[in-house]
Amino acid sequence: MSDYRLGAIEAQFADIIWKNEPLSSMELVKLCESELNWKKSTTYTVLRRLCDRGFFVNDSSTVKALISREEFYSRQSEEFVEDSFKGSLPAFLAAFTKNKTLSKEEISEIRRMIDSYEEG
Amino acid sequence: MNEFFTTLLNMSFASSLLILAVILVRFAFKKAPKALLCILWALVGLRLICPFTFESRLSLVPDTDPVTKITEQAEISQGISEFETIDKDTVAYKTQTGSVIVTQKENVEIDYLGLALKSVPYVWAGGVGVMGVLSVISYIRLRKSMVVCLHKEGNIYRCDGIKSPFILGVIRPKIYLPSHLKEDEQRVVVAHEKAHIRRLDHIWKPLGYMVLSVHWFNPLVWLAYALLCRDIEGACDEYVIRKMSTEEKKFYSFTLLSCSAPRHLLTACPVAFGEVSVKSRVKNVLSYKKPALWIIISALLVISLVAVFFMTDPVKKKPVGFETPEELIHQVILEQEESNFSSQYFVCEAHEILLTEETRSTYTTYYMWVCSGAFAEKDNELEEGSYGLYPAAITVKKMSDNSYTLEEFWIPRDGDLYATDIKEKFPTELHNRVFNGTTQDSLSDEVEKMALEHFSIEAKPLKPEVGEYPRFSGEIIAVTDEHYLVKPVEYEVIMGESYEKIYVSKCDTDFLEGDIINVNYLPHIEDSDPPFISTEFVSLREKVFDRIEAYDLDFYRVYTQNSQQDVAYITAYEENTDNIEVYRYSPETYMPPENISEGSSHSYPYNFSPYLVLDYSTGYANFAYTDSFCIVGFFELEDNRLKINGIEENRRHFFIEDPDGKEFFFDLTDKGFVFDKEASAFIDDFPYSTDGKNYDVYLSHKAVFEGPWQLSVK
Repeated sequence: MSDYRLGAIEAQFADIIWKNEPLSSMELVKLCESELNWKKSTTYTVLRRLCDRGFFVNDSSTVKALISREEFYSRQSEEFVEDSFKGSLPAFLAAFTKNKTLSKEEISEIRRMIDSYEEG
Repeated sequence: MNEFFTTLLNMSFASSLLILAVILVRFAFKKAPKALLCILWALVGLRLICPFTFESRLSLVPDTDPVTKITEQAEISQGISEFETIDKDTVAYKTQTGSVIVTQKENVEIDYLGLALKSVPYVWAGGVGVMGVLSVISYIRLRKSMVVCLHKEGNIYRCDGIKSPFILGVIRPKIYLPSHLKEDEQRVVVAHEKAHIRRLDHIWKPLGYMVLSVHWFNPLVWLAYALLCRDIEGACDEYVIRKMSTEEKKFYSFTLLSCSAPRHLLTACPVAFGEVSVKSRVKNVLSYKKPALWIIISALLVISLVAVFFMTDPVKKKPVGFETPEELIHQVILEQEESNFSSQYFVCEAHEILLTEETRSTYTTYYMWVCSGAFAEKDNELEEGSYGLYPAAITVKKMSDNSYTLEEFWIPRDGDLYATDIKEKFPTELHNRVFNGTTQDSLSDEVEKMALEHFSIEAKPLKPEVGEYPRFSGEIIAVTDEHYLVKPVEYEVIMGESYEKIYVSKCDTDFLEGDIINVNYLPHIEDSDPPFISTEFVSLREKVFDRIEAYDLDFYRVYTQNSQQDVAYITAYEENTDNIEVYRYSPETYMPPENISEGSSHSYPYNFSPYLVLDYSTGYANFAYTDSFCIVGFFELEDNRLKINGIEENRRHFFIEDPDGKEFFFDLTDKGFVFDKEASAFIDDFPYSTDGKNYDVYLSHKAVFEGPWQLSVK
């Protein structure tokens, strides 16, 4: 299983599968529609992504879990992942914006700023 | 470069100053509410897209037009900017006259500036295209990251793939939140995004991006856009937190921090929460105080000042040149004349434009005939100070403020160089018109009329009436049984302006006014009968004759280039000199009358074969003129009798021929010549006997008759 994160909404989707697996993909689509208000294409897209990441498997229209819910949450990391956008633009544009990744020092500095603020 | 780009670049330039001013204000007024800064950016945006603005004396924008200066530089350059490469050594290009030249590359001077200017539209369009493509790409990437979304409530959604909250959509904007936000964080962020929507930021930012796309070449506009984004966020923060407590503000700042992501500023659509300079926003939030009234007022004042100083255009200088090319031409011609004369003289001009030619994009050349004169008034008559009739080429330049200035005033040189100069300067199709001189009389008339009007002199009729001069009054002095005595009037020579010279009949020695040329200038052809002078050109002042025929060396008929129209007669031969007088005769000014009737007295302009018509029934004598040229003899008065001179003794029968070839025969009697009606073949057509009376026709060469005559009664 690569990429251990689950977004909050992905987590809801995963929960649906974990609660009802093994289930047919059609049933999954129905459930997603009612609970998440998702189109069929969305359901299939997200399912395929999670399958690619090793969470589930879609075996001839039957969806099964490769890792259990409990096991997953015990392994979850809480790291703040940095944005991967940086490489998408020409370097000069990125440099122009002066918006580098907030370093750990900067983050803590700002936190201190906030914490020490008193009305006055 | 056409007007669109000139305007665009000028707008960019003027806006740059405004941007700098706004940056200055922003720096100086850090404590001011950011919302007011956004107003300043709105002014910038307006200046960047609106080519129109007010003119004000308070404007601090300099009155320069750098764009036009550069374009003019390219026009002046000698190099070429349009060419085709044939192979690695050869290029081909078109000259101004349209011919194509193929030559070695090294021979050609390339006008790089002109080349650069030509490519401006394409480069600009390319830049705009790139900006559009960038925004499309970032939008697509955004949508891709938004696959895993969940509708929360109203227009709020939560997505897994996004790092920072934003708004999408212009008409029905939707708020997208990162899915990991907790409920209280969500509330804060939603409040912020809703504030954006309230302030219509989801419309302003894309608009700003579009303006940026148009002005992508101006780095200051990029800076303005970046600062605009910051100030939008700041204004939004202020809007949200103005009613918050300290704790709430802390929480807000913390949410800012946790949402911050190092994202680029150039996403066209999303209005984000955490992307812009987190640190300064946090600082701003924590230190926010509701601004005092005086701060707001002074900030508004500053905004107004900035608007007046930098949004307005400077009052344009007086246009450099004239408003229309006609005005310029008129003034230039007058000045040319004036420069030769003192101010007491009235200068006026008339010109006729033959051809207008646009030589380069702002230059136009006018080819014309010019007639100008300087006149004064003396004794209620027009006194001519100077007068000129000449062809000219005036080149005019259209300036950037649409006024016209003089580029070149060309006139040909005198004498031999006249023709070569004209041939060189004037287009080929005009050469005939200029050299053959389609009459510029109308121009001369116009000029003289203007002068006469100016001095309030009543114009005299230019041409003497046909039939006025010379006048033979027919005043009968005495009557006897045998004859009438009629007193002739001396012939007057009219040298009016419309007669360049008056054609007069030969007179032996008396000289009348006119040109004098030395007969030696006329090449002779020996031994011809009648002796011809030459068929070569003889130039007489500006008149050019191409053949002179000599008859008896008493008079000559001189043919000009248009021999049908212009026939001049050299009629006076100064004795013992080589001088002959030349007169120009224009047949149109003379028409023989249809008939002579009783009691009428017709007079004609000069011809050289006047014949005396004697009406015996009434006793009136008249001179009738034709342009017949056959010499029979000439008369003289002797003892009050018409006497014939210079006739061979054995000739008794003479004829004259009128222009239509009619022959009138005369018998020489001891009373003089008597008209032989029978012999004259066309007696019925004899123009002078339509009333059936008897006439005697006498032939005479003499222009001046002295003394009274005695006529024999038939």
